[in-house]
Amino acid sequence: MNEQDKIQQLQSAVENLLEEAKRQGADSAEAGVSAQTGLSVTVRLGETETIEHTSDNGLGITVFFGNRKGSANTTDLRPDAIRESVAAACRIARSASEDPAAGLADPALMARDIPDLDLYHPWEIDADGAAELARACEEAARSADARITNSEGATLYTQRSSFVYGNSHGFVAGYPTTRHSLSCAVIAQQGDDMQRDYWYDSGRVAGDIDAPEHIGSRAAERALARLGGRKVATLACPVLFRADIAPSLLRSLFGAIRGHAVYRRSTFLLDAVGSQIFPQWVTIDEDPLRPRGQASAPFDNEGVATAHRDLVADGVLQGYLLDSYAARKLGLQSTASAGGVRNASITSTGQDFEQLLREMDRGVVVTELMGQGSNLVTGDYSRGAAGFWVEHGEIQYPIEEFTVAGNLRDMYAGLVAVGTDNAIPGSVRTGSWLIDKMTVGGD
Amino acid sequence: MRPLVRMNVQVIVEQDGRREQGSSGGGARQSLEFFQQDDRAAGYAREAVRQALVNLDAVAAPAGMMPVVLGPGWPGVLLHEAVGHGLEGDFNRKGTSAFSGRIGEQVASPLCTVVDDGTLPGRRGSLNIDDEGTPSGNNVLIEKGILKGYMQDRMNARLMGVEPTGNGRRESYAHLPMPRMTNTYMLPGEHDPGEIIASVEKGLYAVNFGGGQVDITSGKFVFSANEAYLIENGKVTRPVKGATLIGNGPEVMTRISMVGDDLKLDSGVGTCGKEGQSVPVGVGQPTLKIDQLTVGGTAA
Repeated sequence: MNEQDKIQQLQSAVENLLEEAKRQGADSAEAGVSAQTGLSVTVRLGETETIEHTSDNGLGITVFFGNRKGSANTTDLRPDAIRESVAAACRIARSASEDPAAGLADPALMARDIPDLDLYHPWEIDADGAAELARACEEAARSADARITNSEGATLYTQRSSFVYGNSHGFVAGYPTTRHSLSCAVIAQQGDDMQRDYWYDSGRVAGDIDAPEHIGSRAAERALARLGGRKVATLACPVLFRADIAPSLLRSLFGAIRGHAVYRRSTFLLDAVGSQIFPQWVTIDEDPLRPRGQASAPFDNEGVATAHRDLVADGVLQGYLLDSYAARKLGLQSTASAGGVRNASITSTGQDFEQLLREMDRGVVVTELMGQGSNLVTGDYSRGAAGFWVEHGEIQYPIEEFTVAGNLRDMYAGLVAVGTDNAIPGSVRTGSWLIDKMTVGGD
Repeated sequence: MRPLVRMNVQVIVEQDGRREQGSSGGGARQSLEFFQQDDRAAGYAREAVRQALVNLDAVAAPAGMMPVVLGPGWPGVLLHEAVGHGLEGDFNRKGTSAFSGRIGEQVASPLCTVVDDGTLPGRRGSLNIDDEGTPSGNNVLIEKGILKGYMQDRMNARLMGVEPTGNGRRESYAHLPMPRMTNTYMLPGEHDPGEIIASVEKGLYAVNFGGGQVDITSGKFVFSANEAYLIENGKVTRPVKGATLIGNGPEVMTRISMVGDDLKLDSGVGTCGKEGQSVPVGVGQPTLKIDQLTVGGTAA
């Protein structure tokens, strides 16, 4: 079946669902249906380790009886199963309590034109072809250096999905997407010291993915660079979050400005809209309509039209991330954020990584973060880390088994520079972050 | 049938513009009535509020190496991260774990006996049979500090030439089975918990934790405290803000110098993630003392 036919089929499934919900007494309803196929092949030490073919369907229905809401999910798209799912959602709604904020998004906000965001580029590759690329990738890593002694393998993954959303405002729309990735993880060893690291690339188009040999040798390089890690003394110093982990600092921001955290008063950025939370040179934008973008979508999970927006402009927080529920709770309007932030980026101050090291002069580069020590209620931040010790503006040696701690509010306000070294594919684009001062916990 | 219920309570408290959170919960392989028995649901709420109020008074946590006393029960997440994952058969078959090839070696202090027991009645991590049909077992991982065995599914057991141990688990039919923990805990020792705290001149007493994470290959692991206190001159004093603790699994286990007689299992909240698959697990331990561990606070 071609993709257009698939979308047609899912659209009629959604229409039937909405019809069925009405028949069973719901005042309004919304439904999302997705169908996905994928292939994942892992090669380890030159041998094919696993081949996985996946084929998944998913259907979710939400019904409203006045302000009472019920939801149900199924993976079975046959008519009987659909009827039963609708009935289950209706049973839940009838016994749910009234919630004045519950309901569909504002009909005036529904997406009218559905732009083609160039998200569908299937990769015609079979298991043998996938294994060949994964093997080339792993081989490049293993042959990079004699100290690469072991491997977790290389994995090629390709997936195509079709998604349709509809609700009883008469909105029904959908689109197909693809996603492909190639990753590799290897182990470097020197004496008793064993260090693992990985690298990957991913994209909507197979041709956009970096050469297997590059991904492999980058994985090896990263693992080798960790060998001989030392401990660091406990001190307060500048910290440079390397570009591949810097997105996590933006994700903490997004978590803290989620409407659901705001109406529950469970965020350190409560009432921060309109206030200066970053230095003045910082702008953070969201670009949901970016062609081929990894998180691009023409409408959010409630059918609301997405659009470019600044989340932070001149260092000032511009607004929250609101779905219709949080918006009603707060007396505001949806920002098309049901389903999260779609493609974010932050301004750079223009330095490359080496220039940032020189600017830092003496401090710590963080290349790995571990654990969940980021408290979005208070902003308190304390995470396990690995990285490098920097003196005289140059990397001296790898360091490990230390913590970096501070408060996100101070970290955002103390952002000194953002590099030009955008490192990883994905929905958050940023270079390395130089933060003026944090506490490093070590020996 | 393999029932599973879980309840979680999270509260926010506010005083003079300062907000803090507390959370609590529990679960078991039971029906929903479990929460109505023994006043459990209300108990979770009270516990969450108590924890949040403690945090309202918390001062900045210290940073650096110091003695750490871990309370009983859920802090057993230490064992899950510091040794548990590193003893899963797949990593050891591949030789990628810091514990690879070390069976029979001393990997922890002689006070430590750690088991993975899927046979405990009604516990969150318990299984009658694993997801490949192998009966679950009470497997000794570390006995008096000596590494005894790994946790296996069928494939890795066959490839390593050993018996499966009932640890082959999968999130659902749509996932491949792999070696996973069930309920991982340390057997009790001989010390009175009060005596353990009294032995510390200056250190940290951590009683509640969020999650943890481990790098299997280097052995580095972290776990984040969300209720902790300073120990000063053998006494528990001020509450401190949550801090991440970081160490090297095999190293930290050899630094366990006191083990309490108060073994407790967690309340049934644990979920373990590995290669994108989540499965319910349990942890437990008595009060124990680690002579030196890096604490990641902000008070240098």
